[in-house]
Amino acid sequence: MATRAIIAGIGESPLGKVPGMTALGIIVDAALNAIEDAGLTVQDIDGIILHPAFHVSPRYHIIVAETLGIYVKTMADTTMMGGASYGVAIERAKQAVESGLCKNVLIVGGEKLATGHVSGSAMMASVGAHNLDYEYPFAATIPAYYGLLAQRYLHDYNADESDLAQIAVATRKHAARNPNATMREPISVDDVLNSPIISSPLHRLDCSLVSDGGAAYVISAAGTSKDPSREVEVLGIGQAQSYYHMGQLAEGKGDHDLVRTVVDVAGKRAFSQAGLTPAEINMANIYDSFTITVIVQLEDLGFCERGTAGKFAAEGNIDPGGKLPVNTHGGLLSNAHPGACGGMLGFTEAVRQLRGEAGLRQVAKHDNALVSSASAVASNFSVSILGAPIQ
Amino acid sequence: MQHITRPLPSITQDNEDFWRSTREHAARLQRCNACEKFWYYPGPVCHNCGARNWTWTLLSGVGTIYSYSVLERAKGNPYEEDVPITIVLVRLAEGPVVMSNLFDYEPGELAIDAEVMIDYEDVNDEVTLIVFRPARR
Repeated sequence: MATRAIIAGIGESPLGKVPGMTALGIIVDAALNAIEDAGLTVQDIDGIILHPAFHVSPRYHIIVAETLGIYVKTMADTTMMGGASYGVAIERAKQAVESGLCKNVLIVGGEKLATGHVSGSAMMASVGAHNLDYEYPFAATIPAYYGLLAQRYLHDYNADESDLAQIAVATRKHAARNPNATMREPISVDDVLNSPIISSPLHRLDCSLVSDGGAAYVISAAGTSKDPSREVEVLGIGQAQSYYHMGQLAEGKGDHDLVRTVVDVAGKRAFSQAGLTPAEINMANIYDSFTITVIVQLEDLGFCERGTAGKFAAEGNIDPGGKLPVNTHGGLLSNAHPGACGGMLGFTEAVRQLRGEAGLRQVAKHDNALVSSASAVASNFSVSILGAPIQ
Repeated sequence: MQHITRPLPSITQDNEDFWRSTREHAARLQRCNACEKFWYYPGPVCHNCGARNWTWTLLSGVGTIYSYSVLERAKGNPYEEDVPITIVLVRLAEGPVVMSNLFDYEPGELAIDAEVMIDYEDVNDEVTLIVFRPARR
């Protein structure tokens, strides 16, 4: 029988403000937690994927393996795709395990964006992910990029800022049920609209947090972990990337442009492999760098019609207990956002939910979960559909 | 014109003709000799069809706003003290969409599909940026 890759273990470091640990300390902590969760030892790991992101060396993944004492690897990769990296990494690790290239692949990331850099430089560092010659001279920051996306969305669908705010409000309801979330106080649409503008039409509460923290997962062959009844299935996975410069995204091609993203391509592949439709998905952890990021993905993935995601959220569909709970951990908006690896927390949360280990915020029906990751102004995507352990 | 402390672009063999044209306040972009489309940003090959022959062609200087965002907080960036800064994506009459800034506009003139025209900001002896103003008839 063909080898089937599964998620054998997950781990997180402390999240939020973690002044007492270095980035390397955070990464190693998350890694060891995931290896332990899988019932493996460091000696069992023969592949590693880490996105060097803001770290000092393009070989940071090798430095991390060195720190952990993993001398020989038969795969060491970086998936340099910003926020989408750690979804793409699962696809790469799955292929490695199923082809026999590796037995156990460690995927790990961690950043010190809240306490490790000079204030504000997290945003500066991110600028390198966008164009320095034709965009940054015009004072484009990450929120400005997403502001341009959001403004065009509002225009195309005759929506308003309260539609965006609905996402922040619903996400905070989930965070209130997560004792580890950074922001747990309930908020209203008015609270979002009354928070300062960062880059119009985005208010502060439309923007994700800036955090320290890390996460990890181990991808192995089915039946090889400590407790196969906790092995989470990868039912389907796809990725899609479009362009880099904002103007090029706006010019678009075919059915796609700035506000009609290529996440539908990644999603269709994942849904097709899983044999599921959007209506059959139990919960979704949607990469939420900004509220608009969630809006366009909910629509492009087919969870609601184009131009209706704000209404979809306002009707309670993405709330705790809703038809499609979204970001049950509180997402990047309210739980934690340690940079490019922040999207990993959508995976670790989905694994907890699918195992039935999510405590107070356990979703009632947890046969499957969709997890997306995104980056670069909604131009790079990975979409996974995970399944509950086969009992 | 509003002062913005600008990060500066790198001038290379791929774009030196473009930056020369903006210094002369007569912006030109590459127009493909094969498919006849313009492309932005300057580069060694047509973005549309892959052809490697082009003609630097004077722009009409007019366009419409595709989207906009007013940046109000930019902590840690060189232009931190210069906010608010109005960032626009402009669809040029020639086709390409460019990122820039809009200046000297009245409320109501910052709107998607509003007509704008090119202006020039001489940042230093080497760099002149294309910026925009409302097109008023």
